[in-house]
Parts: sequence; structure tokens; C-alpha cells
Amino acid sequence: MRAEQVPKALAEAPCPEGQEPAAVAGPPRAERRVALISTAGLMHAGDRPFSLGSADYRVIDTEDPRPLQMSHISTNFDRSGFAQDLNVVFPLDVLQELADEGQIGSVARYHYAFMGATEPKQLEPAARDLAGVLAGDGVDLACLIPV
Amino acid sequence: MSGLAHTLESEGIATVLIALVPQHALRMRPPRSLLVPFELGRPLGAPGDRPFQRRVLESALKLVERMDVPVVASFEEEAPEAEAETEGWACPVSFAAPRADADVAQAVLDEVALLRPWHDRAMELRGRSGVGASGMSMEAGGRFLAGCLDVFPDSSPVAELSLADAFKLAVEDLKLFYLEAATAKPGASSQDLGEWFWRRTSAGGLLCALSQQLADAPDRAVALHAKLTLVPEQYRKEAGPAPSSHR
Repeated sequence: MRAEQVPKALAEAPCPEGQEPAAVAGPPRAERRVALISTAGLMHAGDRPFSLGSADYRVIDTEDPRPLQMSHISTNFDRSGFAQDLNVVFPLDVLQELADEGQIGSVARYHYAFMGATEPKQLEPAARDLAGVLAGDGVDLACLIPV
Repeated sequence: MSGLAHTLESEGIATVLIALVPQHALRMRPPRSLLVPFELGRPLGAPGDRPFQRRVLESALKLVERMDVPVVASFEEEAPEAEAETEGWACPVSFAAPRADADVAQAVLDEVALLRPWHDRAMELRGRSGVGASGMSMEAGGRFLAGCLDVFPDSSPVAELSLADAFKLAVEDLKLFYLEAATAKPGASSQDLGEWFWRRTSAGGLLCALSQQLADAPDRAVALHAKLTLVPEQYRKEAGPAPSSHR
């Protein structure tokens, strides 16, 4: 399903409008430490699955060998891409390639996943907490990836 | 997603965002977004196409250099289509047409058995599987789901999960097992796979039946899943009368 085929209810889902965006300055891209933040409901096998109304996040640890699973509740998006290639949803290998070539400074050890079916406002407390966690890990660029 | 970007940036973390639903990004005005013309579920565009994925990710990351927020950029390149899309993809396994009088549970278990070697092949190719979030085997999950057609369960089959979560995760595990196995043979588009799963497998038929039959389930969360999160909208509308698991 492409954006123009998105059900009206989803395309017009309530979301806060008109907020003035902040803009954080920082070092050149080639010096930045990057973390991925997905809303695909990803988790390591054995972690607590996402559920209706989940407003917290799961930690994706690049040193954890457990495979990644998806527990997003929606059925209105394609999962066959994820079935074939994790990078089409969560491009960790691609990010590492860019780091190896010096296009970004480094890849963070920890990345994060929310479950995007939850209303944006409900995710805010966890996101504020996460900002501190990212800063503590030296991350100065978060790349947000929907599903 | 845009809300997360606002929050993180206001807390001092620079963000770039890939946007699959442009309406949301345009309304919510996150600091820096890259609108992409891909289908939902594929934010990097094309599975298995690393150069294409790189172009998408690089385009998004480059936006961090912009301070004239809100920045809205567009990635204009369409995702390449699966090679066999125009030639017609066929599932590696041929199933017998689902019989109206068949035992649904057995029909699903038979399909799982036929797909198993292809699922093994897929795991070998990719070195991973995303199946297993329910904690149930395919066989146990299939029996549990088919059983829900006859008697609504009074408890969860998995101690750590609510009934609704076990139900939903068993559904997604079943679907993902089929998709992983079917794509061991390359060349299928997402549409091919959707048509195959929802129209030509007993598992797809089972989920359509559950979607209808459990819409008024005594467990509200299960009922909500049945109505909204089991079957994609385009297939939900076409669902026929709900069968029982045994006839």
C-alpha cells in the first residue's frame, strides 16, 4: 500500500499540527554518532512484545545476537519486505557501511523501537526520557524510520 | 513519528526522518523530513537492494546539515519492482485448493508442513527469521487459532502474554512464516504475496474467518484485533461467510 492508497482514517489521523520545530546545531555529518529510531514495533526475540496502546520503547543492542522480531499491531502495511530483508525496515547494515566509508562518524551501539500505532502524544514521555539516554551514549543524530 | 522528532529535537538531539505518509509530515512539521514514494512497510524502498537503500538513507542523513527547519525534501526515485513481477510469480509450493468441508486446522498444518523446507531455505539464505514473537510453534499457533473458531478460549495459551496479545502474535507469526517461506523463491512483489496469502491459502482463509467470527468476542482486545488488525482492509471487505473449524 502506497501513501496515496493509505486509508483516509490513517492519512487524516489526529496529530498535533503547526508546532514550531526546534533545530539543533552540531558537528559535520561525518563526525556524528547516529542511532536509528524505528516505529516498526521491533524487539529482540524474547523481549516483551508491543501491545495495544504500548507507549514505551525497546532497546535494539547491536551486540545482542538474538534476532529481531516485529510486534507492531497494524495489519495495513506490507510485511513481506521485512520477511526478506531487515534492512528495508531497519537499515543497520546500511548505516554501518556509511560509517565505514566515513560518511557519518559512527554507529551507536544502542538503537530503539517504538510501536507507531500509539498516538504521538502518548509517546512523548518515553521520547523525552530517550533523548537523555541518547545524549548519554554520545548520539548527536537520530534517524527516525517509520513503517 | 513526527511527534518523536519534535520531542527529541526540543531535548537537544538532532533528527532526520523518513516519511512514508506525507500528509502526516506536512501537517506535523518535524524538523527535517525526507518524503519517500514507497509502500507502507518498506521505508527503505526495496528489499535486497543495498545500493538503493543506501541512496535513501544517505538522502535522509544529509538533511541534518540543514538548519532552515522545517525542511521537507523528496526522494524522487521509485523503488525498483521485483524482477518477476511482469512474468508472474508462483509460490514454490502448490497447495490444493482449500475445500469448504475441510478441517481448517489440519489444512493449515498441512500447508505449514509443505512450506517448512522453503522456510528452512529462507533462514539459510538470510541467516535470520523474524518468526517467533508469540512463543508458540507454527503447529501450536495454528491449532490455537483454528480452535478459536469453535470455542473461544478462556485463557491465554502463553503464560507471559494476555490472551489478546497471544492471539495477535500467533496471527503475525503464522503470516510471517508463510511470507518468509514463499520469498525463498525470489521475484514476488508485495502484491503477489498478498494475493497469494489472502486468496489462495487456508491460513489466509482462517484469518478472514477469525476476523468475522471474533468481532464480538467476549474479550474486548481480541474483538478489536479481529475487527481491525487481522486482515488488511482490501481483503477484509471481501471476506466471505465464516466457516467453523470442523464440518
